[in-house]
Amino acid sequence: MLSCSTHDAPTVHRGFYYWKSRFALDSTERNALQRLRTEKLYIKLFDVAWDEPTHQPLPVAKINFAAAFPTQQQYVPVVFITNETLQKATPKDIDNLGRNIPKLISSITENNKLPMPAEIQLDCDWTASTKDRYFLLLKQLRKTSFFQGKRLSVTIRLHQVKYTQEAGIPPADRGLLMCYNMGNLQQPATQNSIIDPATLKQYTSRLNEYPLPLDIALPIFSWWVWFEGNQYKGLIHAHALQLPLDAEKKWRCSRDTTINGYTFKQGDWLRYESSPQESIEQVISHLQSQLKPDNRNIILYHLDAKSLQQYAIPTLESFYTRFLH
Amino acid sequence: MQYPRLKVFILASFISGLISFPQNIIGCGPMMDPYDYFTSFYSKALVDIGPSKPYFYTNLLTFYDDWDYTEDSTAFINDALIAEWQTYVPGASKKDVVDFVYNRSVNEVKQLQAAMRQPAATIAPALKRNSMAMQLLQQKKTEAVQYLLLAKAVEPICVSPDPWSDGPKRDSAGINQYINQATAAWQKTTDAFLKNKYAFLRCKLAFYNNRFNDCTRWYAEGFDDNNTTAVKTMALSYSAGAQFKTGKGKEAAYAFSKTFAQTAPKHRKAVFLGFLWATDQCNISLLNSYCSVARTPKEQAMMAAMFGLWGYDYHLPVIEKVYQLDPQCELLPLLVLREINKVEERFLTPMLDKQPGSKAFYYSWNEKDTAALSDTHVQDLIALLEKMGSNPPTNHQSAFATATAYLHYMRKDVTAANNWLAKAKAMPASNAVKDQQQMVGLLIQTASLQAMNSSNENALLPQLKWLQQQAEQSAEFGMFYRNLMAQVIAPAYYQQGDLYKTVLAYGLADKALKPDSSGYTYYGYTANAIEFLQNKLNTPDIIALYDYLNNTPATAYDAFLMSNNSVTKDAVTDMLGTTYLREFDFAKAIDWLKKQHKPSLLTSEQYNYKTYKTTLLNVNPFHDYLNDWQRYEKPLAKPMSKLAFAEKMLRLQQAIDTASSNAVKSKLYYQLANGLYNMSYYGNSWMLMAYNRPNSNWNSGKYDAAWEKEYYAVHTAKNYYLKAYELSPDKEFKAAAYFLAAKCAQRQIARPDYDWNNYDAYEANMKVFLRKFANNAMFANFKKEFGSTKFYQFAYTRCSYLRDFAVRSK
Repeated sequence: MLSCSTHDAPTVHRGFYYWKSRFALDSTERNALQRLRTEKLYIKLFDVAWDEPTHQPLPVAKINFAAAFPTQQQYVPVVFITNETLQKATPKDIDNLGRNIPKLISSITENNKLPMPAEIQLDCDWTASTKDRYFLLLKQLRKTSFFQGKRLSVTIRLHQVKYTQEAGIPPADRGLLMCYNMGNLQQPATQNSIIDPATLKQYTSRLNEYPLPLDIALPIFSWWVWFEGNQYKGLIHAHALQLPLDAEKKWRCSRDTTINGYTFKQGDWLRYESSPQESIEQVISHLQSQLKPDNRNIILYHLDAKSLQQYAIPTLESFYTRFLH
Repeated sequence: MQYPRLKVFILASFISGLISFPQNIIGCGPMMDPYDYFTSFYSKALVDIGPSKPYFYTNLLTFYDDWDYTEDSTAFINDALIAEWQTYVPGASKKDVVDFVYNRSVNEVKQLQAAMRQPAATIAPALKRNSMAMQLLQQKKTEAVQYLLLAKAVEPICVSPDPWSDGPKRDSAGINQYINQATAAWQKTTDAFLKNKYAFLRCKLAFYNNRFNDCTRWYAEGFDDNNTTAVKTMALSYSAGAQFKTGKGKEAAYAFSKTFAQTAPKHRKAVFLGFLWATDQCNISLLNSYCSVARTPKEQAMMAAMFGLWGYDYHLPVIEKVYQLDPQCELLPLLVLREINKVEERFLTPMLDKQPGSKAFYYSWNEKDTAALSDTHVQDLIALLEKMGSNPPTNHQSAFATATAYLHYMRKDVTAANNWLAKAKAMPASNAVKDQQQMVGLLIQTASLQAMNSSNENALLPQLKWLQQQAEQSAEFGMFYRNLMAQVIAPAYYQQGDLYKTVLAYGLADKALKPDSSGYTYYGYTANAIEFLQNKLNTPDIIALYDYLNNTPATAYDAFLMSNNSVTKDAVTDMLGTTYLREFDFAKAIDWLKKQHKPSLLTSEQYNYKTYKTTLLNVNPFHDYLNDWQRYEKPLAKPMSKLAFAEKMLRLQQAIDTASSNAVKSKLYYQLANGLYNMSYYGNSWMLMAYNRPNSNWNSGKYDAAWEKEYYAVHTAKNYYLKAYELSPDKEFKAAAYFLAAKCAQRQIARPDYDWNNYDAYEANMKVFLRKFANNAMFANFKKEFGSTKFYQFAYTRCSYLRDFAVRSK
């Protein structure tokens, strides 16, 4: 798959994340997969979260396959683990997770007649205090029969690639550098927490020294960030609201109102955040200057009709092809 | 749940107070033995072990039986339920009721139903042999069969889905249909027995269909306070679960506690798990408000007691509350047992560990506990148990009084301990309590002795023999015996300077545990008397030990001390021989080694990582080799004994005095040097001087004992190689002797110990060491004097340090 030839031009393997709880592709999504010659679909199968009443980690948000998996793409199962789970888990819990996670992935794969994956991805924003448990879990997973012979990739966030001493290097085959959600979402002063080339540069000046081979994930989503005064209130799907923006890409509520089921009070304001083409291109350009040429998976987050419609197909194509230069 | 930060280490506490890790540490293994990590003398047989086992105290497991849990194949049987069926279906045997209720399929019950309608219908042979089936048929209990059909049909859906399985989704509509059937039948039937069954079925189906409010409501509808059926308790457990699922923790906990009280002990653990969840892992801060919903003092006591069955903190207020509410509460002895175990872990164990001469197996401390805090708790516990052992009378008074005596012993109040023991003995008691009284009595007796003299030894003997006999039959008493000998008797000898009896007391502790019925011996943590003998006794003490063992026992106690002891005369003579080998006094070594019945042999186990096989190698202590990795080459056909080695070394020494020429002398010195080098840490016969050789050691320049200086720094070996070099006329031989002296010189460069507090300093010191190590001070002269010899070439191709040196100095 990803050979380490130094003589051939590097290959870009194109992928998309699928992050919804119900799997069913509409025509826009199918069209995008086909026209972009997408090779891989990274499907989030479930989250692992801490269940406080029973004091144990449990799977939540399990995906429901309402339609067949497309035959042209490779299936890469993804599991998201909350950092809280790792903080509260006992050694016995970690041990059990090492058995239960492969069991559930296998069960979902088999029940939905999905192809046997060649790669499995774990997504976790671990910290210095949970590093040891997370790494132990990764090692346990690799020992299981389901994980044997399969590549294990793990998501790496910007702070983890910069502060390797504290964060450690996870025992995985590949890292997936998440080039989004890089700002402080809940800060009123933030302009765009999804993607900001300047912020990315601060974290990636020594990227080529990172010991794991890195794949890249880029954002193509947008959302509204809702504030009540200076208090963060939540996120709203971008397509749920059509609102006029001021020069700062904000909408301010001048009087109490309800729009599409959302009730806003006077003083509330929304910040529109998106993944502008220009920002993505700047990020790619910077990453190219930092990374050695290598075969890489480039994954767009995420496969969603509304998000796809914000970009022309050639634009999305260019996000992949820019990594070839 | 907030676990206290309890750090538990195993160590052997040596006399000097130096803390180190013995060979039997499970530091490299998975975890310590959760059943044997603190000193205990309090028997679990004081409670009903089977049902109580999950709740015994241990800091290292969630439930006590987590580690060695073995499922009983009949554990699922609800005896009360079966008994009710037997009453309802006269003539049905218990065995057949169990089989019919639990094992017969829906189809088989349908056959029975068909046969009730048409007598000629076919019935499976298994049914024909089943007296319950035949009685149902004979007694024409069609309604009962109808009920059993429904109950068996819903079994497959009445399971909590495995969250880690992507199984078929729940068919809510289908389950609702079953609920409707059960409800209709419940309303219609006039059979009281079956009415209860349908009432239970409604609750159960509602629970598994996530209709939690209905489950709770239908329980209240279907069962009143006078109902004492088995299904009522089962329905109550579902109601409790439903209340937990709907966030009513207090009500759920109450329901679980009532279920717990009504459930047979063998089925209680699952109920307790529900209670645990409903009470936020038995969060003590919830105890008073939760208990307030219970209707009677007895119920409140049970709830409070269940809070006390969990956690690592002291629970004195819980025991007090339970006792006030219901002095006869069945869980009180278990609560007291847990509390005593906590005191043993945090008060008794550290106290015994700190005694000079104590050979503790483990050391544990809790950051929150200090000795003063624990002592205060012990005093408070004593006060409470004194009350519980006095008034009002309870079923367990004698046990409480015995526990009081034991606690007074811990606080070294012998008078109070004796008083309470006398009170306890005057009360009716079970055999288990009587055995405990005898154990406590023995402890009190040891505490009241001023010295372990002959008179006191003989006074102790009958009780020690009793304890030894108990140890033959009970693994738990085996541990008590071990603990007594290693942590009470041995330190007493040590503190009065009788080191040889200290060793023998440890030796009895080592043999305290017996094989079980299958032949398996649990060794636990051994006192390791031989290790104490080898490391901590000086020569006069070892000789005193030998003399003691060599003589006929003077008293019955002496005979007791010597018998069934891990310390043998051969071990002692080996130690004495080794003591003199360490001093290179081969003549005296021979004197002792000759006394062995079974000689100590020079062998080494060699593990092959490719074949996974271990072979025993007969090492050659006079093997002549250049590189240390060659030390095991050319093994002997037969093993050499320590005695034979010492004899040969003595002969070599004596031959030097009468050697005819310097050439002969040089060869004798060379052989002696080879022998001495192989005796060292770096050689193949290190067991001549040491009993343990960790792989990661090296000469650190610091020595715990005088003999370690030669063992690590090989001064005499170097000197003898140099003598061989000086005396020999043969240049090639001189070269060899000089090179081997240089090898010894390299071993004399002290390697710094790892500094946990100052890594920078350690790193700097290591750089200095490595520089010296790579630049042998003798290499310059070796090259200068022997650069043209064949031996130089031979060494050059085999010694990288020499090669590097030679290249650098070109």
